[in-house]
Amino acid sequence: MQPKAKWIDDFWKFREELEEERAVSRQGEWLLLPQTLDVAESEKGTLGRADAIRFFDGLIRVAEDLEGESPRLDSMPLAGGMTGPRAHIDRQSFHESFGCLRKYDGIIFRRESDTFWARLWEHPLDYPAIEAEFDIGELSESDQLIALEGTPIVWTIGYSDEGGTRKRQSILYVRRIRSASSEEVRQSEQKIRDIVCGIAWE
Amino acid sequence: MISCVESRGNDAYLPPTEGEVEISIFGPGYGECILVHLGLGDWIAIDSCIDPATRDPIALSYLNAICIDPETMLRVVLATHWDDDHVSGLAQLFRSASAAKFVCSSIMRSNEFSALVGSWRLSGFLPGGSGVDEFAQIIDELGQRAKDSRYPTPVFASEGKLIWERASSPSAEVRALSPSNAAEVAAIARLSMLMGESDKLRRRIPCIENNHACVVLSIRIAGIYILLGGDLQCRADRAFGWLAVVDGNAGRELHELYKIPHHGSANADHDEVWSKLLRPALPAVTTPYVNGRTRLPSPEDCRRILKRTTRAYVTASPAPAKFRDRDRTVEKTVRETAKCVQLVPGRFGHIRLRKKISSEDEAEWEIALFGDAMHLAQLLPI
Repeated sequence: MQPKAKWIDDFWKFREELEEERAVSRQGEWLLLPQTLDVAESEKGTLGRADAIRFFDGLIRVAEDLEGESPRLDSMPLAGGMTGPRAHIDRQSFHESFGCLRKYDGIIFRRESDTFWARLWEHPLDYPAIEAEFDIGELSESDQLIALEGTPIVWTIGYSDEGGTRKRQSILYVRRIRSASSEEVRQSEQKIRDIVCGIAWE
Repeated sequence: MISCVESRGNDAYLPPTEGEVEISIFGPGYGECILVHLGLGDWIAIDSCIDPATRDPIALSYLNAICIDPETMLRVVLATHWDDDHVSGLAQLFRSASAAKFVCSSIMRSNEFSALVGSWRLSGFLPGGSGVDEFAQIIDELGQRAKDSRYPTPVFASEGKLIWERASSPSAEVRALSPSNAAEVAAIARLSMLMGESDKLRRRIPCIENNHACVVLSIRIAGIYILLGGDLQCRADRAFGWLAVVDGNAGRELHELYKIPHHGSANADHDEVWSKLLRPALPAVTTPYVNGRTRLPSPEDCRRILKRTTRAYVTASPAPAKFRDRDRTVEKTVRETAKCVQLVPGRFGHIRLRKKISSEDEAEWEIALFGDAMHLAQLLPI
């Protein structure tokens, strides 16, 4: 639980921002958890009852859905502890994360009009390889145009966590690798020619 | 009539005697490798694939298992063509065989091929490797060996070229029957069309359709003739493919053992090959090929081949293995996302054919099936 004083400071700071920006959408980033809300600070005049009601009104509706109740701050006692939703407003605590379960690298070996086949490896020397057929719609529109035979591809499977919501994700994309420059290609071709010419063939 | 005895092998690690010919064909469903014992401890390796157990080239695994030193006993390492499924581990195999001469199709002496390898090798390391990676490594190795006269000179194979021979009894020779001159020119033209593709997003050379520049081998050991068909296909024009081979070799000694080309597919099969180059009812072997929804040999291929010879075998069923993952969530997601998912190669088998080199009564072929190898008739639906 956060120190009370910081909670109050954050609350007022955010309220000011809200009034300035009318950024109602930011409410959606708040995390509501049913727990004891210590409003003792309000008795000291730091947090006014009317402010709290006005501010929490929209948020509590969300909490209604979660809890099946209709808690309203104006019906709650302001002295001592009360049970209700708590808004964590330390913005640093909101984050997105992706936990990778499996990442495959591979090559497209067949492209058809609405599907493609790829050969995939979790580690480069894995044996046997995985062959999979995908709908072309699994790729983004820009990747669909370049998903040709011989194109490298990456497939990542994992969980993404966003503000307490976990989603299972399958992400497929074409790997962009830096192409060799014309000069590098020329030098490499010359090197191979030199080696081949230096070999006495029968 | 060629005499054969077939068995489910249980002596995979028993080496042949010096007086025995052996042809070992390995095929895991994606890849192919053939080892031939020419007698007197001389071995040749044609193409390469990976041993599922050791992840080494299967030729190395097998020779080590039967206590044959590849460094001194391998005389030839040959690449019939550059398809990925025929060259996996070929560079490692060649590096391990310092007494072997490297043999490849004559199109690889072209400037176009050098330029292609030079440009596409910059694609960087690709998972699973690629034919270009293998050839680039082999060219590097040949460049090193060129400075030392102890190493045998590499050979470009073309129609009629003698690749290796042994004069002492029992005499032996390995001769290329392809590619024809016309096929070489056509293949080089095709290579030049691939130039300039490497500066785009592709990192692997697109598959070249029609293996007209593939090397077909005729091997003679004393009076035993063996035809190894590679992946050569047929074309209507008699200057190309199998018909060029037939025209160049009809009327010569017939072969008594056949490696069926191109995994038994119809586009590599022609009546004239069977009638003009092969003895009737000879033992014939092929390897499976699984690539996406392509499965070779198909049931129609099996029926067609079995009409030509009942002694037809395949190193494994052309069936992929079922995909499994150690994590159930991953497995579930893979199945939900992909329309079809499979593990390739799936099955793996080895067919070993041995015959005593004898100038007297014709000895019989001992055909031993290991792993998932089977008679071709077993692939037909019941």
